[in-house]
Amino acid sequence: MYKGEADWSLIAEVKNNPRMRIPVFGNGDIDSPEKAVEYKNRYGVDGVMIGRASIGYPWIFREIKHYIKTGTQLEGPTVAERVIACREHLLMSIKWKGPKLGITEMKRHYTNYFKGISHFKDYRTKLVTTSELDEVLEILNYIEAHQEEFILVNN
Amino acid sequence: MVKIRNIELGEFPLLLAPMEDVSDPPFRALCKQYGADLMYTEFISSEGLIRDAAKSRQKLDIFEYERPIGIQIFGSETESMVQSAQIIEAVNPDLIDINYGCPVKKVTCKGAGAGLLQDIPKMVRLTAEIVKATSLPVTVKTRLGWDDDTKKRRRSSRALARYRDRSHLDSRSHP
Ligand SMILES: Cc1cc2nc3c(=O)[nH]c(=O)nc-3n(C[C@H](O)[C@H](O)[C@H](O)COP(=O)(O)O)c2cc1C
Ligand SMILES: Cc1cc2nc3c(=O)[nH]c(=O)nc-3n(C[C@H](O)[C@H](O)[C@H](O)COP(=O)(O)O)c2cc1C
Repeated sequence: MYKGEADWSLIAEVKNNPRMRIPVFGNGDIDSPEKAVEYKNRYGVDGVMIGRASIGYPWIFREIKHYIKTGTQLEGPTVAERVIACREHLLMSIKWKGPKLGITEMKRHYTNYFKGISHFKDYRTKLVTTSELDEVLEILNYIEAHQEEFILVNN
Repeated sequence: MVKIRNIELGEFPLLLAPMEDVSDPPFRALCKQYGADLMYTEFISSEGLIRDAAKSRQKLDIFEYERPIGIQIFGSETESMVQSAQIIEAVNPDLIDINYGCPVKKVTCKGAGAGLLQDIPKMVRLTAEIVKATSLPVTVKTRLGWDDDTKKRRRSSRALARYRDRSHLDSRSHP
């Protein structure tokens, strides 16, 4: 569905129309602090909206803020921090939707939370095949406790 | 300071996009924790909402710690959209967002979402009616036109500019 790059030059045109009295936020393809700042400067929008890049990576918001403020990259989350966020998400999900749906609907998020970790496939497979909360938590706890075994290749 | 009416959003706000099956309360809690300045719910069908469909109603649930938060609706019937705006107002979000960007067939075929970009006067009328029907600020989320005809794409955004409290523009044209 998403073919090609979003065309922000038209957003800039709308934003810079002298008759435009309301703030305009740009949206489309922002996936890093650098890109957010580059687009901020190049297109003059009042803010940006982020979709896909936040899925399994809510840290993108604080990373962009940090980059705007300091011009330097904030260290990405550690493996343990990813587990903690993922577990929090899972538990809230269960509270919100009930155990069955909560566990099932979390499955689409695991890939994203643990993206960039080498040799993670077996753990991911386990996470998405079990429907038992105990087992999911056990796997997550294992990863958290053994984070030195998991190597983040990008970030 | 960027503001939507009285809502102060900071110097360069970062918004969490509305995403069906993703932007639910658990996910939003994490995004809020890590710095999203304004968040939106998943989109809600106005037809579902006025018929009190459970799926639509559930998406109205918002929490104090989420503020500022916007509830997004889609639809093409003025009457249903206006009624939905009133239902939404009753749950007291910070703002209402109208979806003029959804390219998914089941939505556009009924003339909603990005389908409205094919009838810009109607989109403008619909927006005006909703703004009139609610005391909440209204934002619209649109893409820049239905097709690759640049002129048409520009026209849609200009036409709306007069009515909106805020717009956020989604920059893809319909694939
Ligand atoms: C899974 C998914 C669901 C979406 N659901 C909605 C929606 O309900 N309403 C809407 O306006 N846009 C929806 N979108 C579009 C996003 O809000 C956003 O405009 C789009 O993903 C482009 O931003 P991005 O490149 O940062 O992801 C959805 C996108 C995705 C990926
Ligand atoms: C409910 C829903 C609403 C959507 N609304 C929008 C929208 O308003 N603007 C947009 O650009 N894309 C919208 N999308 C498109 C989604 O971004 C698209 O389905 C998704 O990116 C599919 O990505 P995939 O090809 O990776 O499956 C919407 C999708 C869904 C499911």
